[in-house]
Amino acid sequence: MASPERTSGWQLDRRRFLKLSGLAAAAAAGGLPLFHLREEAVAAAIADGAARNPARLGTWEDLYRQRWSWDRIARGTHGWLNCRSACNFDLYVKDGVVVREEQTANYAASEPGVPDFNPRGCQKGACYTEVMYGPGRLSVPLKRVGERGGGKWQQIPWDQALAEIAEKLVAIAEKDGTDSIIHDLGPHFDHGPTTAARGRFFGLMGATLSDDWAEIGDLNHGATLTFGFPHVGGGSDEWFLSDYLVVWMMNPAVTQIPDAHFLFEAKYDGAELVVIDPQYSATAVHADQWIPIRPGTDAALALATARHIWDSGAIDLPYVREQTDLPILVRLDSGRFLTGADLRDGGDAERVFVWDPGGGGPVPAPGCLGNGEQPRLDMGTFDPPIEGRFSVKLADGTEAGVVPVGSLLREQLESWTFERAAEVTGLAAEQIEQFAGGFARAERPMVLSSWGSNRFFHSDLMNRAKILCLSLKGAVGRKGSGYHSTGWIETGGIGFGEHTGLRGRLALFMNMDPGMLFDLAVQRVRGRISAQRLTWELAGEMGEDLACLSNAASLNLAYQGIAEDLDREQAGLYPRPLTEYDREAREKDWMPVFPRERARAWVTGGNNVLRRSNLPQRSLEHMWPGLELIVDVNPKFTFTGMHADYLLPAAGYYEKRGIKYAVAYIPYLHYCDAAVPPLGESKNEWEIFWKLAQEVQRAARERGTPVLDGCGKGPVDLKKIGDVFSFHGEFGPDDTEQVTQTILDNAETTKGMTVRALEQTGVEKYKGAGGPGGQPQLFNDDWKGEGVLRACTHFTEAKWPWPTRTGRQQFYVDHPWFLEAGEALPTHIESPKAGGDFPFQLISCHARWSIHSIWRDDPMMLRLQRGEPCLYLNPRDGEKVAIPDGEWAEVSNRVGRVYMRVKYSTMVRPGVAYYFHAWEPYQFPNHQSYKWVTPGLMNPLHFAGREGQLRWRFGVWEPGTHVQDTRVDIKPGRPEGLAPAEGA
Amino acid sequence: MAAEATTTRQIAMVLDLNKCIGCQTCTVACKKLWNTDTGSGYAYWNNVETLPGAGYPRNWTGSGGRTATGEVKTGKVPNLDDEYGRAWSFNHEEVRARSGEGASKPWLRPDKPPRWGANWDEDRGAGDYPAENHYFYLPRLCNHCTHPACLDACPRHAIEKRGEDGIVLVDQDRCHGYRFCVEACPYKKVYFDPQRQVTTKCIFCLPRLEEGVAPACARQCPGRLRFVGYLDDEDGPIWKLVHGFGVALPLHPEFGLGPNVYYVPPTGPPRLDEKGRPTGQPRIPTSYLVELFGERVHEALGTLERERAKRRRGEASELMDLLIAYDWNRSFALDSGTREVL
Repeated sequence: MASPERTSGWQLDRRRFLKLSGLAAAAAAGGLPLFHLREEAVAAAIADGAARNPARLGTWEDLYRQRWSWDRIARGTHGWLNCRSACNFDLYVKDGVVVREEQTANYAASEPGVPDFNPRGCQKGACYTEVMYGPGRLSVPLKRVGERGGGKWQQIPWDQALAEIAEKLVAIAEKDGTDSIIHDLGPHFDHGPTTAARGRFFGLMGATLSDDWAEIGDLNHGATLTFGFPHVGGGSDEWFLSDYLVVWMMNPAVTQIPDAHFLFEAKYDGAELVVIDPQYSATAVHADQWIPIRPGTDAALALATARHIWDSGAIDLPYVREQTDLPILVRLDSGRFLTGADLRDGGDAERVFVWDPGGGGPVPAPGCLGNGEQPRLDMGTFDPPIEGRFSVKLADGTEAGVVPVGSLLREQLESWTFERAAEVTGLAAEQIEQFAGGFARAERPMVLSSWGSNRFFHSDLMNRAKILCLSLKGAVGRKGSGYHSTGWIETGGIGFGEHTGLRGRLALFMNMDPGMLFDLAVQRVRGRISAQRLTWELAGEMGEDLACLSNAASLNLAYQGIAEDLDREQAGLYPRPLTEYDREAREKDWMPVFPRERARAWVTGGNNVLRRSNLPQRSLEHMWPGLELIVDVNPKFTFTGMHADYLLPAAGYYEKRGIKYAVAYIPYLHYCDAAVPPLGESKNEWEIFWKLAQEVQRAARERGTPVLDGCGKGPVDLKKIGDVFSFHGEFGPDDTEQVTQTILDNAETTKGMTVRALEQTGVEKYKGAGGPGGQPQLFNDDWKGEGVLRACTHFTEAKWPWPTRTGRQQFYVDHPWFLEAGEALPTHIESPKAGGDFPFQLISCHARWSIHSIWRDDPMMLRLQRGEPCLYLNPRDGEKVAIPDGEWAEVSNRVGRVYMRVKYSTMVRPGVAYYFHAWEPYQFPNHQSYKWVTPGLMNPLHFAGREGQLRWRFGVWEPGTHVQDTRVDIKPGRPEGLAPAEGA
Repeated sequence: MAAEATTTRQIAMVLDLNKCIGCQTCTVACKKLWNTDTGSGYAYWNNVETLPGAGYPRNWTGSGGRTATGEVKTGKVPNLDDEYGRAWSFNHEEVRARSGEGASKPWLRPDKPPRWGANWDEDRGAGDYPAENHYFYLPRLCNHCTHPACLDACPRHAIEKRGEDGIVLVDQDRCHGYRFCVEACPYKKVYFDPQRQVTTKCIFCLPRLEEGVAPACARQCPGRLRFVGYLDDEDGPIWKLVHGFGVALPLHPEFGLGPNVYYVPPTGPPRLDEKGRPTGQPRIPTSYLVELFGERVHEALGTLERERAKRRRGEASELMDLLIAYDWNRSFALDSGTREVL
C-alpha cells in the first residue's frame, strides 16, 4: 500500500468522508494549504469501493451521472500479459459486468525529491473490458471437427474435453515419452495461481518445458556475457536521478508508457535526454539529442564513445580495477586468460590473475570463479594495472607474454575514431563527438536498453559496447546511473513436488523455493566455493538436472524444419554452419534439447506460437502434422488456436485471482482480484489444470500406465499426478485464494502480504529485492521497500563478485568459439542480409496498440489505427517504390512473400521498413504475416556452454533468434481476394 | 454575450505537450466512459492527433468560428467517412469460420475500406529525414470557450455555459439535432449522434467534477501532462502556468472564442545541417507553433528554456517543479463535495 494516510482513505466510510470534507472546509477558512486534504477526499470519493448509483433520473444530466456509477469497485491489473508494466486499476462492476476500468493511482513517491508513480496505466489497460467481452473472446470448450485449421468446431462439455485430452496425453507419454509433450511457457503468465498450475502440471507430467525468452529475441546476451545475468536495473524512478539519460535501442514512450514520464521530468530537473534510434520515435521527439543512427551500427558509436571516455581522462580507474576484468591477465600466445593451470601443474584452471606491480608477478584475482579464499572483490593494498605487458613463467618452464584485458581493449578502441564511427553509423562526426563529450562529462550517465535491443544478429556486441561506456565511467551499480535492461523482483512459488513450502522437491523459475535455496547455499558455502559457482550449481540442482527444460530456439532448430533455411541464410557469417555449432553444443551437453526424439503434443498456456515464431510456414509444414494433440488454453481465439485440436476457454483477466509478474520498474506487488465470475463456461487455469491432473490420473490408472522415466531426469508416475498436484487434497480446484496466499508466504519479498488486504489495496510495496540466488535478480541486499529501488549494489557496495568467470564485469570472453570468431572483445560487425540482398531492412518494433497479440484485433484499438497492419515507409521511399500511402505492397525475399498496406511516416529512415508487431496472421491476406519473410537468424556463439557465465540457464543464457537483419524487396502488389474497388 | 456575464468561475485545463507521448489513454478513457453507443461510435470528445497533420476530423481548422466583429461564421459538418472516419466493423466470426478456404479465405479487416480515422495521421509528421523531420502530439477536447460559437449558433438555445464553472453543455432535451453548433465550432468538437438525432460534446466529466474528481482524460493520463483547476485560483497550477509564468497558451487564439484549454508548447531536438551536424535551430519550426498558439509562443518557449537552464545549474525553479508534478495529485485543484457523495 502506498502510505498509511492513503490506507485510511480507502477505508473511509461515508460518515468519515463527510467529516473529512468538513475538515477541509475548516482548513480553507483558516487559509491552510488544501492540496493534501483534497487528495484524500478524492481518494474517498472513488476509491472506497462502495456503490455509487444515483437513484434520481430527473434531468438529462442524470443520464451522464448514471454512466459514471457502479455497484462495486474491485482492484485488478492485467496480470497475465507479457507487459513490462504493472498498473493498479479500479474495476467498476455494475450488474455483474465490469463496465470500465480506471487507474487506482495509489502509489507513493519512493523518496523525497523524486516524482511519484501515479497514475500508471495505458490506453490498453484502460479498455481491457473491450477485449474481455470482445469478439476475440473464447467462452466455451471447443473441439475441432474436420481438417486442422479448417475453421469447424464443436462445442463440447468440459468433462469430455478434459477426459479426451487426458487420455491422449497419457497415451502419448507411454508411447513416445513424457518429453514428447511440449509446454511452451510463452508470454501469457502471471506470478500467481495460473503459472503455478501450469508449471506444476507439466513439471509433474515430465513434459518438455520450452523457454522462449531468447527465441522471441528478448534475451540480453550482451548483458549476460558482461554481468553474468541479463536483467539489470531497478525502479523506473531511478531514471529521474540521472543527469545524462541515454535511451539506446528502446522506445519507452511506446513500450513503457506508465514509466516514460520520468524521462521528461528528469529533463525538467536538468538532465540531458539522448535518444539513439534510427527512428524518430515518440521518445525521440522529446529528446535534447536525437541520434539517427544507421540500423545495426550501435556498437561502432559505443566504441568511439568508450575511446573518448578513456582518452579524455573520464575513466574511473579505481572502479574499473575493482569491478571490471580490465586488470585480468590474458596470454598473448593463446588469447586465453592466464590461469592457475598455466602456472603450475594441477593448478586451478578457473583461477585468473592480475599483475601485482609491487611483487612483480601475477596474483589470483579476488572473487574469480576459482578463488574461494578471497570471496570479495576488494583488491586490498595494491592497484593492479589495466595496461602493460608482462612476462610470466609457465608450469612447463617456458616464458609467456601476458597483458591485462585493458591493454587489448585500448588497442581495440584505438581505431574507433569519431571519423571511423561516423563512416559506419552514417552520423556526422560532430554529432558523435557531442554525444561522447556529454557522456564523458556526465556525473550519472544511464543507458536504457530494452529487450528489443537484442534482436540484431550482433546485438550482443552492441550491448557489450554500450555497457563498456558505462563501466569505464564507474556508472553501473551507482545510484542514478548505470544500465537499465529491466530487472526482476523475486516472488514465491509453490514448487512442483510433493510438498509445499520449504520441503518442495523442485522449485523452478517463478516457482523457485527460497527456503530450499538457502539450505543448499549453506552446504555450498561450507564447501568454500565461489559465489558464482554456488549460483550455477544451484541452478543445476533446481532446474537443469531435474526438469525437461529446453530452450525454444534449439527445439525449433531440431523440429521446426528451419535448419536448412538458417544454414543458407547464415552461410559464411561464422567459421562453420549453424547446425555444426548446434551439433557440437549438444554433443558436449552445453545446450539441453527436449524433446529428445519427437514432438507429439503441444499444449500452450495462452502463448501464440504460430503468430510468434519466425517462418511459421515451416512449423505448419514440418512440425504440426506430426503432432497428435494440440491444445490451447486461452481466453482468446488466436491464430495458433485456429490450428489446434482443442480450445479450452480460460477466464479473463478480471475474472480470476492472480499476481502480476514482478518487473522492477514498479516495486509494488500487483494483485488481480476476481471482480466477476468467468464469462460463459470459461475457468481459471488453476481449476483447469487441477481437473486435468485428476483426469490424467484416472486415465493412467485405467490403463495401468507404468512408472515412466520422464525425460531421463527421474521417474514420472501419472497414476499419482492428481493427488500430488493437489498436495494430497491440501488445495482444491476452487482454492486460488489459498494458492495465492501460499505464494505470497513463500518469498521474503512478499512475506506478510495477505490476499485479504490486497483485495482492498490492489498493490503493496515489496519487502525486499530478492536474494542473489534466485533467477530474478536485482542484487541489492539492502533495499527493504524504502527509497528508490536500484540494482547491483551487491557488487559495487558489498563487493561480492559478479556471477562471471572473472567475478567482474567481463568485457573479454576467451571461449574458443569467441576467439575464433574475433568476438573476444566488443567490436562492430555489419548486420548480415537475412532473406537476401534486398533494398529494405525490415525492422520489428513493439507496438503502442497491443501487448503482443492481445488488443491487436480489438475494434476499439483498431479504429484508432488504420484497421489493418501497416508497413511504415518514409514518404520518399514510398514515392520511389510507387506505392501511395494506404495502398498495398508486396513484401518479399527468398523465403516468402506477403502483403501489407503502406503507411507513410517521416519518422522512418529511408531504406528501412518498420512494422509494429504482434498482428495475428489472420489479419493479413492468406493469413500470412511478416513472419513469413523473417528467417530469424540464430547466433551460433550463443550455443556455447559450461564455461563461466556461458552456461545454459533458463532465461539467462541460451540461443535465440534475431529478426532485425531481415531484408526485403517492396513493390506494388495486390493480394488475391480483393474487390476491384479496394485499392491498387 | 450573456454567457460571459453570468460565468463567475471558469474551470480550465493545461496540457504540457512536452510530456505527451501520444499513447491515447485519454482518448480511450473518455471513449469508454461516454461514447460507447452506436450513434457516437465515430465520436471522440477527446482525441490526440499528430501534428503537423490533417487531424481529426480531417482538416478541421478554419471552418466556423467568428468574424473579426464577433459574428458566428457558418462552417461545415464534416463527412462521416472522409473526415471523421466511421467506427468500422470487423469480420471476426467470418475469419474464423472460413479459415480453411485456401487462398480465398477472408482476413480480418474493416467492413468497408477506411478512408479516414481519428488517428489516421499517427506519427506521420513532416520534413526530410533526418535533418528536419518533426512531429508532436496534440490532445484535443472541447475548449469550453469563454465566447462559445456553438452556443450562439444554436437556434434552440440548447447550449448553456454554466455560471458556476464555465462548462459548456448541450441540453440533450432541448437539442433538435440541427447541427449549427457543429458547423460553428472551429475546433470541430461538437458531434452529431445520428442514432439519437442530437449533438453531444465534452461535458468536462461533469459528474466527476461534482465529486471533486478530475475528468477521466486528465486523471487517467499516464504521461502526467494535464492540470485541472480554476483559472482564478492563484495558488493552483492553472493560474500559475497560464498567468503566472505565461507558458500555457490557448490553441488558435485567433479564432476569437477564448478557449479555456491551454498548452505548454512543444520543443524537440535541434535540426541537423546538411552534413548531419546538430544546429542550434529548433526542429519544430517556431513559425508553425505561432500558427497554432499565436505570437506569445516565443515568450513561452523562452521562459521554459530559461527555467530549465536554472535547473541545469542546480538552481531552484518553481515552474520546473510544477511541470515535473512530483506529487501528481496536486495537478488537480478542484472543489470537492459540491454534491453529496453516495
